[in-house]
Amino acid sequence: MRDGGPTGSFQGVGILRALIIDDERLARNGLRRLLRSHDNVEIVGEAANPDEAIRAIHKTCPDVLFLDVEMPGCNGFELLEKLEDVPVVIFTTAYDEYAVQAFEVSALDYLVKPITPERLAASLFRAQKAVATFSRDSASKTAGESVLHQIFVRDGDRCWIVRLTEIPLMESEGSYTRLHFSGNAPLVYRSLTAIEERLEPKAFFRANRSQIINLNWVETVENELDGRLVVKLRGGKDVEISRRQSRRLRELLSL
Amino acid sequence: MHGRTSTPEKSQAAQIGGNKAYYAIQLAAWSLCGILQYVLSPGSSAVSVVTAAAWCGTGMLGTHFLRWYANRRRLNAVQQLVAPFAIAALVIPAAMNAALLASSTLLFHNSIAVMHVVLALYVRGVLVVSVWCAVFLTANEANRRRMAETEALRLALVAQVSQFRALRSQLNPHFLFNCLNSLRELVDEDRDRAKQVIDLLSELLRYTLRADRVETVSLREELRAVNDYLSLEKVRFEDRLHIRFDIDPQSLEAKLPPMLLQTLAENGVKHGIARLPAGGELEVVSQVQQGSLRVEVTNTGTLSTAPHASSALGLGNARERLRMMYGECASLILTAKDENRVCATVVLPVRSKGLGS
Repeated sequence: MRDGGPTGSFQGVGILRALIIDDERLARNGLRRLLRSHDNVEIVGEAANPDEAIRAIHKTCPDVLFLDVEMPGCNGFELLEKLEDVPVVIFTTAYDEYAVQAFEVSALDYLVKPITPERLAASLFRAQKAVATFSRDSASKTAGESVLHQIFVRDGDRCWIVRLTEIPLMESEGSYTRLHFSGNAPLVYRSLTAIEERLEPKAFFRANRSQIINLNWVETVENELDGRLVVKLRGGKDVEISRRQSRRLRELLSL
Repeated sequence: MHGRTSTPEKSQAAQIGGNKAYYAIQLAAWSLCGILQYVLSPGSSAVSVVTAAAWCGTGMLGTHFLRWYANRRRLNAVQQLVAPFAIAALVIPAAMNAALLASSTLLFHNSIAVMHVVLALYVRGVLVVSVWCAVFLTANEANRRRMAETEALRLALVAQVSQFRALRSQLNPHFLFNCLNSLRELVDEDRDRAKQVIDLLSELLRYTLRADRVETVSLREELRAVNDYLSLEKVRFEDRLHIRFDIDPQSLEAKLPPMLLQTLAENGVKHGIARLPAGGELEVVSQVQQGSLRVEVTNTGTLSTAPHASSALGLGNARERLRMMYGECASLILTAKDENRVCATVVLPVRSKGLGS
């Protein structure tokens, strides 16, 4: 599995486990044929529609998805919305009207069909780098469920594939969670607790009942008179830590 | 000018023609004025001829200069012209009088500089030049209106033409690139099939290029293109696309705008078959009924998923094209045929020979 695998180091030429999702057989075969010349890519499966794709993703846990944006049933974005943890995504499309959209979701890359070997090679290189950093992110994974790397979120017409490491603050809003990152604050249809279960414990910290902070984004920590802590996150947000969690945070940061 | 709509080139020519007309009228009018002046003037006939010629000649030159000045300064509206014309109506007669007096004094040493005579002449001059100004203003205003009308017509025509061009449906680039992508794999997988695809694609491309130049094609030609198009989609969708044609032989020579059925077929594939994991059938049925050509393009799918923004646009364009060509005589409607079939129906008048648009 990607998460527990020994592919943490950058130099270790990890095998990229790829899943091809496209409703056209010829398109899938074409991509398969192109990937054949890349020794570091292993094709773990193919899917012709979103349902097959979701099953295949759960079964094979691929590192990278080659995802056709236009598919019967739902389009590629809707598919991503159904995934809890989103792998590295390379969109494929016959026409670049969706490519612009793909950029907004900060997908790793997109390939226009017909795909040229050069463009594919460049994409794979980037995918490999991204997967390597993922493994580094989750170096201290606990037992049980695997650690989340990326979440797909949508807010109206805009959508993002956002790396967990890029999120300084998560806030509970009823049974949903609001993610705060680079000036955006979209809502994810999952509870904060559900997300918390799959967060890297060394990086994320429960500040209070409704907020989780990313410790890598902490700028300053201040003592309040009543013994509680207030954390200032890079980007400007102040977060009050509850009394109980303040004690834990002190221990953690050995203040 | 004569109730005929003129093309822009003609309207420009009319302005130049107007120039010629101006010279003719200017010369004729001032000559007439000179003759009258001669008739009305007392004294010896030689003196009268020369002085009348000097008087009117100066008037003619003066008003010509006035016109030149107005053109030069691009004075066109009545409001702009009133002031210079009023001044001219006072100044030009003075010049005319001066010329008359000078000619009679210099040539004949015959001074007629009697106050009341000069004054009467001046008033006459003012009258003549005022009439000239009035005529000029009226003609100018009429010309201006006509030009504005012509320009409005021309703009409307340009808008119409460009709208019509924009409405011509072209091959969807998405479709083209998907085709090329399939082709790329087929070259390795099945060379003969790849060759077939190249042939189909060339035929279809040629047809779309031709569609840019002709207003109508026969149903036979359009169906061939639709068949090429669907065969290409079949390469992509394989078993997910089934094609059926049910064509009334009588309808084959009926005329219709090119790419109309192709657009409908493409809509059916894009919003129907392509959205269904299991695919479906696309059926084209044509018949001639009571002087109308009726074509139905039916695809598997539901209407609720069909009215997507781009679908509405595609059909909207086709509808607008029909309206421009046939007015209210043609129709294009999209209906749910049953629970899982959507049908686009076109009805067009069958044009008989010799009957123009």
